[in-house]
Amino acid sequence: MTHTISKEVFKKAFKNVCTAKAMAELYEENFKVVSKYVHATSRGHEVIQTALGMQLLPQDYAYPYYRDDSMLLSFGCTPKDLMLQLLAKKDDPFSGGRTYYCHPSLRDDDKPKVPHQSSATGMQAIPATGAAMGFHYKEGFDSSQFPKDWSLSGVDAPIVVCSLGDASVTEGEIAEAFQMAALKQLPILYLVQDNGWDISANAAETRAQDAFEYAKGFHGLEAISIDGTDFIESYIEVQKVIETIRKERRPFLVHAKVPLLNHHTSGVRMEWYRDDLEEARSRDPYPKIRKQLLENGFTERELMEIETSASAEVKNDYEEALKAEDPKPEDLFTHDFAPTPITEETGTRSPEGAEKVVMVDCALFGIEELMQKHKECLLYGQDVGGRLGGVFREAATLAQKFGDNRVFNTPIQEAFIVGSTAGMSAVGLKPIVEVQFADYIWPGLNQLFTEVSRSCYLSNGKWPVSMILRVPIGAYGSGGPYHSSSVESIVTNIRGLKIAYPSNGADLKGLIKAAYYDPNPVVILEHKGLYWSKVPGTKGATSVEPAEDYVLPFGKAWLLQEIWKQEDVETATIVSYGMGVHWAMNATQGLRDRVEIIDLRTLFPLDEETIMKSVKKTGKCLVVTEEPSNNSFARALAGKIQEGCFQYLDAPVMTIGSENMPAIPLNSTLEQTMIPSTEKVKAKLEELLDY
Amino acid sequence: MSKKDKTSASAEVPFKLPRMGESITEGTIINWMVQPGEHFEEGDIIVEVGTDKVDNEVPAPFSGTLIETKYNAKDVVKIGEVIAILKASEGASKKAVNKNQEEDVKTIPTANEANKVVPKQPGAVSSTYHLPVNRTNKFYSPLVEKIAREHHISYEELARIPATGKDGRLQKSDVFKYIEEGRPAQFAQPVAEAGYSIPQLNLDKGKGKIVEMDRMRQMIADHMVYSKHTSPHVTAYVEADMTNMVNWRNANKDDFQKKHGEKLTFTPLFVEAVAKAVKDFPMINVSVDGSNIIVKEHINIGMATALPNGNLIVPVVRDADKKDLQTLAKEINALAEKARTNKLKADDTKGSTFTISNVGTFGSLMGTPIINQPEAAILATGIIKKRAEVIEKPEGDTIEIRQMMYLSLSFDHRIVDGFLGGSFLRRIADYFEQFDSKRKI
Repeated sequence: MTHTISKEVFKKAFKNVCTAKAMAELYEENFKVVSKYVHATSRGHEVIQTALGMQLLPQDYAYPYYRDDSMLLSFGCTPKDLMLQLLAKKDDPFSGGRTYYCHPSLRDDDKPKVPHQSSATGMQAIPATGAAMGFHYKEGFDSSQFPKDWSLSGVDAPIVVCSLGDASVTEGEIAEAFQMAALKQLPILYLVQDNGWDISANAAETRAQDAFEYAKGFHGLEAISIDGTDFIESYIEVQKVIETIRKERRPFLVHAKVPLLNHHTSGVRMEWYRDDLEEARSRDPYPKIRKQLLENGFTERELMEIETSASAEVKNDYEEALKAEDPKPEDLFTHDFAPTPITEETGTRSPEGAEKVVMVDCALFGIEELMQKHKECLLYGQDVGGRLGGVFREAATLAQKFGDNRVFNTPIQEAFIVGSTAGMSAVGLKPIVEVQFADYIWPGLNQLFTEVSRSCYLSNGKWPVSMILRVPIGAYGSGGPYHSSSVESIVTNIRGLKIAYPSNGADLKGLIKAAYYDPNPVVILEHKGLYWSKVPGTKGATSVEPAEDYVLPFGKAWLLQEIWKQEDVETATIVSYGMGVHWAMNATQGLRDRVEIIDLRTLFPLDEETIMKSVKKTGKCLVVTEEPSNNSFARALAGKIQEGCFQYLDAPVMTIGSENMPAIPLNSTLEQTMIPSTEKVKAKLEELLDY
Repeated sequence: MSKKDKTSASAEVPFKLPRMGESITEGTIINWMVQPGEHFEEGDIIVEVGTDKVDNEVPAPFSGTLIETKYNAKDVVKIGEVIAILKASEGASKKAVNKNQEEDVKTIPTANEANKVVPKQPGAVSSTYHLPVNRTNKFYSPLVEKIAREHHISYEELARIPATGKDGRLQKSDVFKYIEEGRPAQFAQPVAEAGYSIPQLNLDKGKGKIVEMDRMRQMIADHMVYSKHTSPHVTAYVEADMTNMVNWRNANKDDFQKKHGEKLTFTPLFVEAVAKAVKDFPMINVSVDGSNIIVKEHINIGMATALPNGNLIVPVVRDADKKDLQTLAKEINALAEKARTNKLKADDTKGSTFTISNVGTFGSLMGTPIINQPEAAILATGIIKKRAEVIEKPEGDTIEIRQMMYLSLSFDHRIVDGFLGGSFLRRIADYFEQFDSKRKI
């Protein structure tokens, strides 16, 4: 198949390049005004971005990065669209003034879909690869929507484009993305624009090889390297790659060499540190594409007309953008979450004749019911596949029942497990993923924070991430320093997540259902000691299995033990969650008529009403956590309770948690000394009552 | 009786200081009549206990042996505290157990009865108050401050509430129990650390014989200070023409003595008229309980009486409004005799709802009496003295020699205002003046 470029394409491309260049120049002319908010332009990168962007279709998913304004123009965005974001205006179509220039989130019917991606370089690779994995999954499963043989369907198969700067490819998470794309043969194109610079560090200082060479280490990831300043080469090579991906459903990396002709961002001046400016300017793509058009039947006059009209449009759009409205203070408070349909507890929690099942099975059965009912529900993580079904047997039999395509093992890469859900969700799936131990959530936190939690807010509500992250957590008997830790304070410190920490199987099942139907990201912390009620005193975690229709909304605490208001005796409220609920129940034996116990069930949203009402009634409060208490969620909650109930308190709100040591030691004596217990909670409770 | 019962039957029994009267919260051990190791019979006096009202002899509840005493003479003991360990002799203990049960049974309905009129029986709980409380931990939680604000409890009062929290901190439940008890420490007690510094006046108290106040004297002193702190006293005065009453008494006292075998003094006549007036004004027959007023069902008239040693005591005529003159005279004479001979029992001095102090006895013209807490008012009657009075008659005014007496009423202005107090006082005087001189004995 020979590839030629039509006159129309040339004209469109040149107009796009002219517009981008005019914008960069206008920004420089109006530096004082536009640099209020930091921005970067594509000057020097215009041609490769245009060549690729022009070839994407509305069914494609694109993950541009912050130097890709030419690409956005080529998608059909207007200069004004981009300038509204440049000036952080209310009508910025991407984020409503919430994030920087050229940080697009688009969900227009006529344009490629652009899910939210963070500003952290390279971090979009995992969500982008997740989107491609979503297509991969759908194609392997749902033939009505995604025919396996696209050529017969008459529709061009969608692809995912992930745009990266070469300097971001040194990030570790890029390797996780490439690994999975290569392993699963995902329909994704990684466009790596290589201008040879980080900010002030150049390629020689920062990398042993460029992205093209690096890609060779990933078997199954085909890579090409092109001159990104040459429009004809760029367009045709990208065209070939895209055609291949649409047809063959496998990943490509296009390494495009380009010069950086403008500042890294408006925040730094290239003249201060760049030693290659003259050489870079010699590779300016603008005169090259101009020349290519002249060689392909365009007259100088035609080109000048295009240039003039582009620059007039840019000027005009700028004037209009300047006049646009700024966001109002109240605009801060929208779209932190998409509204969930689950707001009431419904269904049968304790069906007659139903069996008591351990907590881990309540979750398992809940997920099985969801997968039975919803084809977009899938489950992946380490060791959850058919061979083992999860190290806690928390996914046992699911792969056998629903196939290895829906329930599968991932490599050991928590960042990918967590971050890929953003892409999965973007293409309409509902992934349930798992980090094997809370101790290993750390590599996944970056994705959870930068990509998953903020997607809804920074896309102004366009791209909420619907996903469930299951995290087995907590100490359960000599798990040692890397299989025992509690991390809820870390997770609760990430805004934009809903977080459950149930104490029993019925709650867990109801919450999993609620989480599934919630359009937002949910982290479910599941205590390993409660899974099988193996830890003494945790029989209460085993519940009658709720019926399939049972849902338990987030943000409704359970007043597990309720007392009358009593004036002539000392009373208290224990607020806890997870294992702490069991310690509290056991510790109040003999004190049942003096102590209320609130099982939070979800740490966010937090049922403050129930907490405050109880503490105002009892006058004293103990917050019980398994975490080391300093700077913890529990401490913060204690502070909040104190603030809300100060005039009702007869004692300081107290907190009990683990000792403030760096790790939970392996030795059982040390472990017992480290973490709370029924006896320790009882002693603390008595101290509070006697205060 | 099983073997087990037998074993327990001869077990040691804690002997508690029994309740001796409604307002008595503590007593002073005066003398142990039985020594450790000694045997006693049921009804024997085991110990003498002094209270603010009377000295009491505590009888043995059963026959047995005194094992151990917990307090020595002069120790102050709260009601209900164990003061000795007794051992019942074989066969006697069953009675002892029954007796204890009886006591319990007795306590409960009393408390219930009291509940109707709000205050809790002071009994066991109020015995925890040991005034003044010298508490060092003066921290108050936000909740305690809130409760205090809602109940109008000052910091000074808070400081007097016994605290059971950590390091002597006042707990919520302490405050509520205290409120339930009717705020027994509501009013300021002499506290060393006052809010001001005591000026260095170098007061010269002089030199002389040191007389130690006996317990009763101390109690009277405390009660007087307490009453003055508690109630804003207002005193109103009227005078009454007693001529009819005096004449009638002079004419009938010998017959009365002959007929009833009782001396006829003015006191029963006063009590009769006062009880009648109290009945007309039930809001005089009241006590303050926190933010409530208890309107008493019974009219029990106390009569301030001097004891031979100079101390003051108030024997009580119960249901004075329901008794005829003969009964009143009989009871009053008996009480007076008991007072003279130091034989008043605790029951004789408890439960008064209104008190009369006859200061005329000492020749006083009138007085400003101090209210006998927790009553609302107290009447002082002055000396009956002949005076020349202008008498208004239809045929013209005349000057006559009449038997005149001043009456003064001190009342607690928290609950009794001038209108009520004045009307009540005038009513007493009216009853005195309207005395039926043709009355049969």
